Amino acid sequence: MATTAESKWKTILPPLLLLAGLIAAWELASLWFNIPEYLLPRPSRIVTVAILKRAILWRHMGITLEEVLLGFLVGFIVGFGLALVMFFSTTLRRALNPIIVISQTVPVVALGPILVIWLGYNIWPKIIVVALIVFFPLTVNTFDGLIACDPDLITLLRSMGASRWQIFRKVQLPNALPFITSASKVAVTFSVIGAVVAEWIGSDRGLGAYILQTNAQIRTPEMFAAIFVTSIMGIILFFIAQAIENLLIPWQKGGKVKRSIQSYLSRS
Amino acid sequence: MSVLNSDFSLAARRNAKIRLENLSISFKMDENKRVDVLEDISFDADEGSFTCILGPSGCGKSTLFNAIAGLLPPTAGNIYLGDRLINGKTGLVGYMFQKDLLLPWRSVLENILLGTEIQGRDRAKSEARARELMRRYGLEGFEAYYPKYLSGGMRQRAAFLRTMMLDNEVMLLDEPFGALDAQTRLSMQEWLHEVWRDSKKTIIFITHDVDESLFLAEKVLVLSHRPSRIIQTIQVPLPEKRSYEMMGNVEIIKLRTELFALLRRESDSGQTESPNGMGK
Ligand SMILES: Nc1ncnc2c1ncn2[C@@H]1O[C@H](COP(=O)(O)OP(=O)(O)OP(=O)(O)O)[C@@H](O)[C@H]1O
Ligand SMILES: [Mg+2]
Repeated sequence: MATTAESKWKTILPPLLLLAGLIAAWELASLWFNIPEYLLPRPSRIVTVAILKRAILWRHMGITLEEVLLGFLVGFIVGFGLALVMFFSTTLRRALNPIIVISQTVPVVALGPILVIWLGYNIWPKIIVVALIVFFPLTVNTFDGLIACDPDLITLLRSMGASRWQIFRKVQLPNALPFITSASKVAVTFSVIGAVVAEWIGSDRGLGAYILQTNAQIRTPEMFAAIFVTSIMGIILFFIAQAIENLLIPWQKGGKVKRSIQSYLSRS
Repeated sequence: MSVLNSDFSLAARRNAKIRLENLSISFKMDENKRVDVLEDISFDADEGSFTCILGPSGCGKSTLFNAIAGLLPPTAGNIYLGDRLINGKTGLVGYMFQKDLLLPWRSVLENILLGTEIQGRDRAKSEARARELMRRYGLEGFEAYYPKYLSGGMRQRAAFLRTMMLDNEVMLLDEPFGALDAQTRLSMQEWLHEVWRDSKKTIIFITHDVDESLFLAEKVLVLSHRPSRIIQTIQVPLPEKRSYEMMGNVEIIKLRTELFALLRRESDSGQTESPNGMGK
């Protein structure tokens, strides 16, 4: 127990100290060089403004969070679904492969305005922009995870008389799980950026829109407060994804014993 | 001498559980290249018997098991389970592979239950039985562990119990102790022999270790180098219940020397072939 707590501190402490040092340096440099607030506000000022404006920031954050979560959900389902389709049908794999790659060479941000024209000034263009960002890593990684399975494990199941579905469910899917969770961590972080950028294109609400408005009015401390909140949101989402990953693939996370909740999750 | 012979005639009274008739397996590499791995293999493994298959490295032992397990349709010949023709039919015999192949995301208990899940058997009953087997065979307390935290011997036992839980009357064991150190290997051999006497399953066991085959088997089949044929069949003149002291028996030592010479000859003849040993 003591050793794990100790090693935890050893991993947390260095980045924490570095971060604290950087913030302190920023604070001191602003004071020392007397940098005007509209160019670069001091960290203490940003935090003060964030607290002062907490009601409005909270409201915008709620909107952005909704876009992120819905967009992630749609992107996840589509990405996972495409991987399954490509996995089970060689013909569809050949057909889809180039389209999926091409979809990533189109700057998603550039699609924003046209999506607004098509779908209106509502949440859908943002959901689609986020989903477009999310689906790609999910498709690619899920597919890789499904085919990366040790063929001997498949032979083992075949020898037991397993059906195609049982082989998928009991070997190939669990084998893909670490790939899926790892892609999800990347995707959830990107999806925050996606939502903010989508808001720049067509929205008067959400953190992205708020950043744009405050920037236009040279209310720089508020803008930074919004950036600060955005990044906190991304960090929290990342850690939630990380926690879910730890729960789903403990065998890769140094877990020695399988807990009953995990056994329950893995039942067919 | 009299002690050794007491069990000898028993084998003759049993029925054939697995019967191979003129089994041949070839792999087609491309249009004009074919590798003949097994050639005209015929033998019986009686119900409740312990048969060892001894052969040089790469001669086609695993290929033989793949065919019996239905993973590989024979190029020629037939495989029977009892009276039933089982060419290319999977799920009828228990097969323990050369590697333990435990699924890393399953606990040891869940790994042992894998086969019963595939067979769609009652979960609670299977679990109770698996726990009982784990208790009896030294895996108690490790039910919830991930396989990578088990020693090599324990992993092998877990893989074995998984095969046993399938409840097939025939078990194919492909060099299950090949990767173990000498000490663990000896205790695993004694363990397996005990399990076999308890369960009365029909076991076919691959090894390229002469001593292992003589200690375990009632009947030893020796395969030649590729294309593999059966070049020798030996009844081991030992009683069903065995101990290592019996391995010092004069007759066993004679058999041992004979088998060593045979295997040496086969391995050597293999090395004079082209590097990858491919046929025409
Ligand atoms: N699917 C396959 N396609 C082509 N060749 C194969 C295939 N499976 C096995 N072989 C060849 O058949 C030969 C026998 O292989 P096998 O694995 O049965 O040997 P083995 O006796 O089990 O060897 P070892 O003692 O190393 O376990 C080898 O030369 C191998 O390359
Ligand atoms: Mg082999």
